[in-house]
Amino acid sequence: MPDIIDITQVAPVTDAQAARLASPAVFSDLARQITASPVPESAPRRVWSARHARSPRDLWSRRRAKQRALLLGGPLAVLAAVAALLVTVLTPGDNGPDSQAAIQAVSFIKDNGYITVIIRNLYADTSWYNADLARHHIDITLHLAPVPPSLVGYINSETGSGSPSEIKPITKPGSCRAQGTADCRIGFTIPDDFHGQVDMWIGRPARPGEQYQVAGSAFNRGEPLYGLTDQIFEHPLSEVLPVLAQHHVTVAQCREEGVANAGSGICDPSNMPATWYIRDVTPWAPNQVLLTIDPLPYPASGSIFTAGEPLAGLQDQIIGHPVSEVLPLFAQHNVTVIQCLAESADGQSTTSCDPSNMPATWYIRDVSTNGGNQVTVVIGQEKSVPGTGH
Amino acid sequence: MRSPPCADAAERQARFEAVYAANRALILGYALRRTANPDDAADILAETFLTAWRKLAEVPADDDARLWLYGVARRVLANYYRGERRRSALADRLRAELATSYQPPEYGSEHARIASALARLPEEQRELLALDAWEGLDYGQLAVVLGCSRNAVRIRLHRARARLTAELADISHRRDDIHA
Repeated sequence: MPDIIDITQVAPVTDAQAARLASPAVFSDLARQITASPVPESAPRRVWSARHARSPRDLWSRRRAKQRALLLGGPLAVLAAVAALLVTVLTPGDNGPDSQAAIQAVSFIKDNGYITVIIRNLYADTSWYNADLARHHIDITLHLAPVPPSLVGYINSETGSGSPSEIKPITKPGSCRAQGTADCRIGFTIPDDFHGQVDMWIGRPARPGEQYQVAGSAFNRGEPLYGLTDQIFEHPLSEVLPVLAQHHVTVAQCREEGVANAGSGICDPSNMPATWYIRDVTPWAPNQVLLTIDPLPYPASGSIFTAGEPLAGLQDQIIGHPVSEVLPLFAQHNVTVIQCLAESADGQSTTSCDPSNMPATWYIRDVSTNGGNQVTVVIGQEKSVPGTGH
Repeated sequence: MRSPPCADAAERQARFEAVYAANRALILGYALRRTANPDDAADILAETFLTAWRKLAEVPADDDARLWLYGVARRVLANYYRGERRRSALADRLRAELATSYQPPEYGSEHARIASALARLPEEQRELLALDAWEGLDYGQLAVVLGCSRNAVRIRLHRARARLTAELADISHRRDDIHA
């Protein structure tokens, strides 16, 4: 047993000192402002208890899970409705929210009790969309956020009232990764009698050089560094930087880990210590990343199979095995599938599938953690993509 | 399904204020102990309690509220480390006040040596030692905040202490080398 070194003496501040750093009036002012903030009426009412909590990460990933479910769970078939009725009212004007251009930025299709809203111009003034939504008596304030390719079409709704689960996102996976792809469809469907009030953020492709508003993971499918964790973590920067360059990724920002108590943690991307290691890679803008670096090597993150994660060491029993064999293993380790992606035979595209009803004879190709015990599963009809061994 | 109208808005507000009053200094202390920047600490406090306000039904009663809030603050802080800093307008006044009231500590050589060794530990180990020593959490509470078993806490804490000892020894050796 090592000697216990007392680190209490190097605490920069005690709780008692912290209590005196701000006046009661300022503390109260903050509380007043917080309690004046709107509360999502339909927020989950699950009660947290220390005994039942698996991880604080779970508390966060629940919302993420909901968002992901929203992202890919939408009934795409609605789009194909032949009898769809275009209900856009054309009111020609100048360049304002009533102009022809503004109205054409969004289309509304009414069908079978649902309204399908398709954002046709992802870069148009959002006041245009919102004016048009209001014209259709839909109380949704839409924001479009530049995001990395893997998050395009990602929807995050904060409801003032109404149930967010009634809003189903529409994206065609992969179609929006390249800017200006004609096939790119982003939107959502809602019941035509939806009466809620919603603030909605939708991820749109970023323009070249435009900073992302939501970062996601640099190693997600569709990102320039997908599949490269083994070449990036646990290697010194002298080896990693050429890998980034090879994939046309530049470092826009640098942060130092391990100096949170001692300095600003900001480092110069053009002058990083070659012997340090990568701690984290965060998408920053198209083909640009923020690197968090550390003097010590750090094991690859994001794998549900690494030590300490719920499926540690079970990779060989999961990847390449049929769904029917793997689901009991997930249940045994309290792992929940919250997103299912079905990969095409050639591995070039994926479509969403129902996580609660995955075809038993298909094979697990990939499992990635969404935080806590929740995972995204990639399945394929064949064991692996021919010729890749993936 | 629509939730019933909030008939108990006053009760909700009172509950939040009780949680806030009992924990605001603890969370501010937690944030200041992990970021040298009082601006960031003000934002972490604001974001943590904003989450608590929005998810008040999930906030457990009594002392468990503190553990829940540490869990939230930890996550907010992780986002800050990743560069996702958000300047919350809510924290404007607090930020201004902390900017003048907070003075970062000046360590003597022995404390600087410990602080430096601590800063060199991987974040998980540093956080575990800090939660143990600075927030005074016991094994059971650490297990709740970190989402693992008591046994895992025991093992990880043992390893973290060993690593800290090794880092300190390493710093001493290097200093001896310089002085030799």
